[in-house]
Amino acid sequence: MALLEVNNLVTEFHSRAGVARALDHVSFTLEAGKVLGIVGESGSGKSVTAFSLMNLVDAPGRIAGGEIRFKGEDLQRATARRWSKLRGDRIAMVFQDPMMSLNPVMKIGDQLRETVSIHQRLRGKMLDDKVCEALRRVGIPAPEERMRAYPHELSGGMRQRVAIANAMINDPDLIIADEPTTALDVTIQAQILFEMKNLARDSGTALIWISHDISVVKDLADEICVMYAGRIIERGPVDEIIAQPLHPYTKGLIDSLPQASSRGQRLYSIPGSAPPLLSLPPGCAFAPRCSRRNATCDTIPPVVAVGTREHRCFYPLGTL
Amino acid sequence: MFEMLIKRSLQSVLVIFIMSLLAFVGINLVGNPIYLLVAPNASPAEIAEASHALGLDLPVYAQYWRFLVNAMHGDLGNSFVFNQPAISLIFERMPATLELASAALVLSFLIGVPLGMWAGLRPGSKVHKLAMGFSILGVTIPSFWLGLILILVFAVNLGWFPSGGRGPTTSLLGIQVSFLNLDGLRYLVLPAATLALHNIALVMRMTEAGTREVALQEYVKFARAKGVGAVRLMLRHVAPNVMIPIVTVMGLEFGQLIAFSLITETIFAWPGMGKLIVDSVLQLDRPVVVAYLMVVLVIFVLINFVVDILYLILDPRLRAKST
Amino acid sequence: MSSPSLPALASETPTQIFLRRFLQNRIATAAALVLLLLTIVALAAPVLSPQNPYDLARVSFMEAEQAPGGVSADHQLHFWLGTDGAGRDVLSAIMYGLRISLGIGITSALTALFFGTCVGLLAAYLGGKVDAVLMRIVDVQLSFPSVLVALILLAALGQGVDKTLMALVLVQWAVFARNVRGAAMVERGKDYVEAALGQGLPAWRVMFKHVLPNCMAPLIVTTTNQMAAAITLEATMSFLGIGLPQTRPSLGLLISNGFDYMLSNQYWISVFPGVALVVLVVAISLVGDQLRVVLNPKLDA
Repeated sequence: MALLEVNNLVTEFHSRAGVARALDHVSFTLEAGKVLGIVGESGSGKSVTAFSLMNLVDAPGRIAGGEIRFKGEDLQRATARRWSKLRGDRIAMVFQDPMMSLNPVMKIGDQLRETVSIHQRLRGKMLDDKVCEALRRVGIPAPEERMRAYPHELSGGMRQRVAIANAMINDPDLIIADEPTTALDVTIQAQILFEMKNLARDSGTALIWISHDISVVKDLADEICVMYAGRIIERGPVDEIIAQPLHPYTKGLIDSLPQASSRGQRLYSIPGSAPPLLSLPPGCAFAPRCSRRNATCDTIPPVVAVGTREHRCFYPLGTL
Repeated sequence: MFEMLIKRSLQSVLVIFIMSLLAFVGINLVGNPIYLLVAPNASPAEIAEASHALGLDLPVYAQYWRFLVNAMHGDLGNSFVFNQPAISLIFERMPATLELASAALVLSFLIGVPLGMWAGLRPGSKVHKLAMGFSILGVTIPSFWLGLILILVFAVNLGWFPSGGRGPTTSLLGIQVSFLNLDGLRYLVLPAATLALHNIALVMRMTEAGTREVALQEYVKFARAKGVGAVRLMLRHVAPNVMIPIVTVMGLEFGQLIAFSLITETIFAWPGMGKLIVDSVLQLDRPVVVAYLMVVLVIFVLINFVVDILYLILDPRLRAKST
Repeated sequence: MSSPSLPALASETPTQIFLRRFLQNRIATAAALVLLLLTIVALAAPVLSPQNPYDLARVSFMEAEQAPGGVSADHQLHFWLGTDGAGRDVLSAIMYGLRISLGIGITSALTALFFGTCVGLLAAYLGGKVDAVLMRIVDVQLSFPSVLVALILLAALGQGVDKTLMALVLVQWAVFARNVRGAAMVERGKDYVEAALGQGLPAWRVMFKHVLPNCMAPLIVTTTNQMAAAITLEATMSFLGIGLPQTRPSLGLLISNGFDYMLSNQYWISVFPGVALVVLVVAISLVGDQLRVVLNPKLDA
């Protein structure tokens, strides 16, 4: 049984101007201990996926359909209390900007203590030890002193490590990381990426890593989903997708990565821009920008399975 | 941080000095009170003698100098009406005013904060509309009219509360307070409610806006993401962040309350500083007016100072910036 | 610039756009109508009111303290809201009182607007030390409760309509000065000001004819709010016994006069003028709030 099964998840946002479907029949599975990467540009729905999985989509958004099964349990039926129990304990999340996500007027030690104490009966020295251990694991030196610091007293990289410690401290089954390195310096990014990969592997925690940067994800993930305008347009083992992308958009993403070999040449970028969710084209959302488009593309391409992979395209690369 | 405190202290002293000058000069435009204090048929000689005795015949700047010198010694002149040192008159009545203002402040927090938070967490709901409507009324309705209505309904018609005056007092740390006994509390309710109205509305609006803003913050979502339940979220994460600006504004509002109490004290015949100054202004009792101004001034400056420090203590981010 | 669901039609004039957006809020529209009504009543008081309460020949002690609904001795007059201690019809007194209250409120606000604007523009234009000093004075004055400042001023100036006006203006100018200076400072930095100055136009002309019109939106809102504040302040002062003389009672004075009667449950002498005052002030405030929403393109209530 897969750790996480998402079937045809639909999340909508209602506004005066209309209904925006941030997630349109999104489906994927994740096995225990594996890493899934979700890649897409801003507005593609990747962050909404993270919040939908944690049931943290706030009004005017709501989950409008589909199913989320975690270790067999139907999360759509879970009560608020059940969610409070699950969150932080079995499913944890790392947010994009630790400066915004850590409470500015609480010491980080207190915040970590809270994460533990609301899920377990731990107190005093044992609690403090657990917190120190978590901080050590993420590479924060002198944790006993650092515990007394406020978030603004730490550097960006340290803050994100604290956020990661917060996610890992209760040994969850699944960690959802929403662009955790985007707000950090490039050098720190690489470090954190490397460390998270090891941490997850060592503790057997499944990881969902969300990013707009496919290069970040390709070294980390076992499988990736590529999202565009709220739909997963390609999914499969990462090596296969990078080597041979089936969807034109995926290829575009891969091609726009700077390569050492193409030094001195113009950087490729996909022409045009992603459509606003309130005025999507009637069929394939990528069609207006696609060089392979055809009349059939005016209907939404269904999910097509090809071996271990899936895609949504009437004319995938490698055909025609 | 210390140099900031010292700088603020010096600024405060300077402000007091300048304001005392302005106050004194301003009050000198009040008509010559001598005519109130001598018999209507007094002869010019008697008037001149009385003027001299009270120091009213000296030029303005000389009077001011005398005033300053005396002020340093704690002597702000004698009341023309009561023939008592003006400053002691004020201090006699200060506890009553402070009690009233404090009661109003407490009320504004007790009512304003929970209502504001509730409304802030449910934007667009009926609760929200009701609360905001009430707060608009609270800000625009003149408080003296509210006092009137309260007296009419609760005192004259229902008879639950007395229509004026202060209740029996007991001694607390040497000061006479009236809230420690039930009877005294009855006398305090209506005046405190009247004075508090404007403040309740203000606190409610601030709390609602603050809560709405804080609720949207990432760190609230983060707390929910780690499993923090609704109640704990409110108390431990939302409230502290909302309260910081509110507490400091309320500190400043306390000064306003003390000043506005003069209206409430007049309506309810509450024996505080406010009533004293209204009477003194009507009776042209200059020393008392000046003494009152000086006292209120010092209170204001002190409050500003304390609030600055409070802000530093409450928000750890500011502590870092000022070091 | 307009709310997403109602984009401006190309053919609408600015006035039409303004009216349409203002009327979107039903409460504010109702308030505006009420305000209009009150203004008409105030202006036409001598014509509309059943009795001139200050014409001593018409007023009789025999009719004193009548409850609402009473009639005069000769059964000619209905005292819809009762009479006061001297036999004056409360409804008529309210109409005349509205006149005074509204008149004083508008006059003082507009006068303070004028002086405050001049100071604000001056500070914005000259900048530097002059601006710092002027704004410091404004800040200090604003940090004191208006009630206190008004009290002291009225105590110093004495009774009378003109003195009351003066005191109200002195209390209010600071708010205008600060608002105008703020808006003007923003405009001052813009290119069209430099261009106009560079062309040799005199400074005052640039400030008044070029900069000021661009600051109008927040100024209109401030003026409305200050009118409400002035009316309330005057009422409070009159209630305390300072300010207007008895011969020209504003609503505040009427309330004050009726205060003692309240304790014997003859409420109508105080309460009805009070209701009129509250309705007036609330109406002005609501209109002001909606004006703020409508005139600010960035605010989407």
